[in-house]
Amino acid sequence: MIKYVPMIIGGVIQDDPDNEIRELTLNNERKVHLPIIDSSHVDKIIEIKVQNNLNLNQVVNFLYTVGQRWKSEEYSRRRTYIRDLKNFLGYSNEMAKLEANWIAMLLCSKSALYDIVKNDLGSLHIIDEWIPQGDCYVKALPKGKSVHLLAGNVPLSGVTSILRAILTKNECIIKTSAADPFTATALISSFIDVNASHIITRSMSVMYWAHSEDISLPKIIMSQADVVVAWGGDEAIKWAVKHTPYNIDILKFGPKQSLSIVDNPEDMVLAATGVAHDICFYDQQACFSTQNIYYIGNKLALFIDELERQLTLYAKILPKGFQNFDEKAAFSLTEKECLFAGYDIRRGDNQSWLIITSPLDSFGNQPLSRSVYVHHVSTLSEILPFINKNVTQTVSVTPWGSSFKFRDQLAEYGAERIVESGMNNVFRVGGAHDGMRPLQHLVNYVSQERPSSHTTKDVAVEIEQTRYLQEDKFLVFVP
Amino acid sequence: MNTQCIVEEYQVIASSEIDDLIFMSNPQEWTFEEQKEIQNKLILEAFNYHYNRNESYRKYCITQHVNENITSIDDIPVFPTSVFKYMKLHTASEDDIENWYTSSGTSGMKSNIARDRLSIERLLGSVNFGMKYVGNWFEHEMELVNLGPDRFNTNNIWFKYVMSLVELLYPTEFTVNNDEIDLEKTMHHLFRIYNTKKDICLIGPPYFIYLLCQYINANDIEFIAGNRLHIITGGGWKLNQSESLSRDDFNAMLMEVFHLNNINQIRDTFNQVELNTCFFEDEYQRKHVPPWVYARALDPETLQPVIDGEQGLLSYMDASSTGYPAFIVTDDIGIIHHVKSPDPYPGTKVEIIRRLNTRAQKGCAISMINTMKVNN
Repeated sequence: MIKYVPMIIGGVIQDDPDNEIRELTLNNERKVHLPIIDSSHVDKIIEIKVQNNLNLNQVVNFLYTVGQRWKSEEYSRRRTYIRDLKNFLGYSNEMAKLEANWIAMLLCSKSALYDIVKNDLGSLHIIDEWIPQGDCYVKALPKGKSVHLLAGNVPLSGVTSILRAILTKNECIIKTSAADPFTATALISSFIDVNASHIITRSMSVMYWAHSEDISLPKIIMSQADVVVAWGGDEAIKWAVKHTPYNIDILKFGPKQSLSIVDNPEDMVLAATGVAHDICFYDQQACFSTQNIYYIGNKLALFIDELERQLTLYAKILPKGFQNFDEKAAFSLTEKECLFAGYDIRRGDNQSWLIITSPLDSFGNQPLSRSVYVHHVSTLSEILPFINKNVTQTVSVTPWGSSFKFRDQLAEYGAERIVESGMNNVFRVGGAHDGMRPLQHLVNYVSQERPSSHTTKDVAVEIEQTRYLQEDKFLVFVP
Repeated sequence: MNTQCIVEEYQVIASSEIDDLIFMSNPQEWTFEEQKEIQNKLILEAFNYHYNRNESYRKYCITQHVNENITSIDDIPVFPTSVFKYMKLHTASEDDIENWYTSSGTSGMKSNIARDRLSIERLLGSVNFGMKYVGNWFEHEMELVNLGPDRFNTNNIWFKYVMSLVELLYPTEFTVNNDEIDLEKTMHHLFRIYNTKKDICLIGPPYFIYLLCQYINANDIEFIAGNRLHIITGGGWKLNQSESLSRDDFNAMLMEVFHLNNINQIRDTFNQVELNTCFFEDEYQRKHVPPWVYARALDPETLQPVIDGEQGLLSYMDASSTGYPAFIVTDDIGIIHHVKSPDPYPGTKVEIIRRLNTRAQKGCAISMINTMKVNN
């Protein structure tokens, strides 16, 4: 029997037996059934009007309660989710379990949730009440309906997208990816498990549509958006741009490339372990995954030996997920292509990893399956041409101390994150994401501005504009 | 026609056996076993030829622990066609290269392939050889209409060039200029040839043939071809993939629009710029690999041949190329069938299923290496 992943609208699972079904074939050739959106679904989505009068504490407490469920290894939703990632997305048991653990971690980290709001919006209270700022009272109101076009390569990115919208009290219309129809549905289902009538639960809708099919109904949904959050490759971002109303903001988390700099480390094991982690997480399909390593120093051979050991270790502690025909072929072709070019190749058993030592101007494809190009350089200046604005996302540096001497130039050339090697997947609270503070784009700042009787720092008298005009005294008050 | 090429006075004369095969023989002349025997010999000779003359290829063989003393053609190292995108790989000397040909390039970087005169002549020979699957005509019995440019206006784009070569076999009208088809002119020539009692061969990429059908329908033109018209397609749908028809639908459309007597009057061909031979379909619309090409389907992980009939990554060794080593593994997924007697067309049959689709972008990680160095 083929697994059915339901649609959720306004926190209610849609179980109409007459609903048309589409069959979706996943990466490992397994199939799932998903409901096809019809006009009644669209009407329901448009009709959702949830008065979100929760304060931030209530929002965080709800997320924390959900997180406690995810923390329990006995929670059936968590167990089903792990099973789905393994059976349908081809995740190894370790990868799937880690994903569920991270969902628990994100939801349960109450302090982090508060701090995200504080750091992004500049105040913990601004989404709950009017805050005096300058000569105004300012409040950050939710945009309204946030449409999330998710990518499937990094399930946690979808969770992050949804959490940001919830923290800012937005409704969420979540379009899942063909590569992962499970994560958003599992998360919102856990909201239903905790409290089906909760305001947050009732603000959540999850569905799937294909970009290549008739999109007349998805276009109506897009026309309802007050903000769009788009994740994925070029085509996904182009689709979002094409179908988002011109006056609506789009947060683009588009395709990016990341790299590691290894600066003559004393502790070779620490350096190689960190870099190996940055290669292996999400099997290198994340925007923050290291694809190129730039080694500064004179012990490159030792580093590569150690990297080989650590990649082999990761093949055991975080085994690679299922690779389909095309992924295996891309890996094999890349290996042969690099051999033809005369590059030094080291390869793990069963295509578990690939290290290619090549010059800076090397040619070659990147199959993104734990394969990495290592380049020997003398100084940072040789690396900088490979750091590009709007392309380079994460630069992981080892040892950490070297990041302080590199950060100015890396930032100037376009690096968006600078992290210690081994930490590329941990988006630290307070950090930027693709050059943004995302929560700022999910709210409308409204200002209540003080009256004419309110004197300012520069003008110590009331602002009597009519009188100034009549008496031509404006310049008298210019400081 | 010069079918012999003395490369260096003390070295091998490029085999006249292969030229006899390409230029003089008939596809149905040999059993499957005989073809294997010929193939083994020619491919081994070709390997020795390139191994001894092409330093880049020789070095690659050495990295695979292969030297010239191999005994099985399965030991010959094949390399990805992507190599031609990044380096100028040629065995013929610069002076002997007649032309550099590029792929039509549906996306990304293009392959650049060096061909000497002998390779080009053999390619033409393969077209001549393949046409024998379609039928046998003297020059005065057949005229062609090519929905493509003549060979002087192909801009060295390979599939256009290959299609244009038919003019060397039969009188030909070309009805495409600067990528624009003159549909009126096409129909004019089809009717003109029809009235001469000669057979007609319409050649072109499937999308252009499709456009011609639309033109015929829109203008209520009636062209009752019966058994007089043969339609040969090549090059695939390329950028027009979104409008592409399945083979069955395409066949049905042509049968209806041209009132053909038999579906076997429609044949597709296959070629890619890195391959020096054109594969034609037999009367059952099965693409055949001539005996001088060794085609295999490879396991994507081990790059070892899979069993007959199983899907794999297509790989070819083409003994007809002297300009460059044509020992390639492609980005195409397909199936190889070995056809034996009593089938009227014994030999190797290839079925191309689709291109690999993971070499550009996955999720939000950019994987094309050519996006890396923007500042330079």
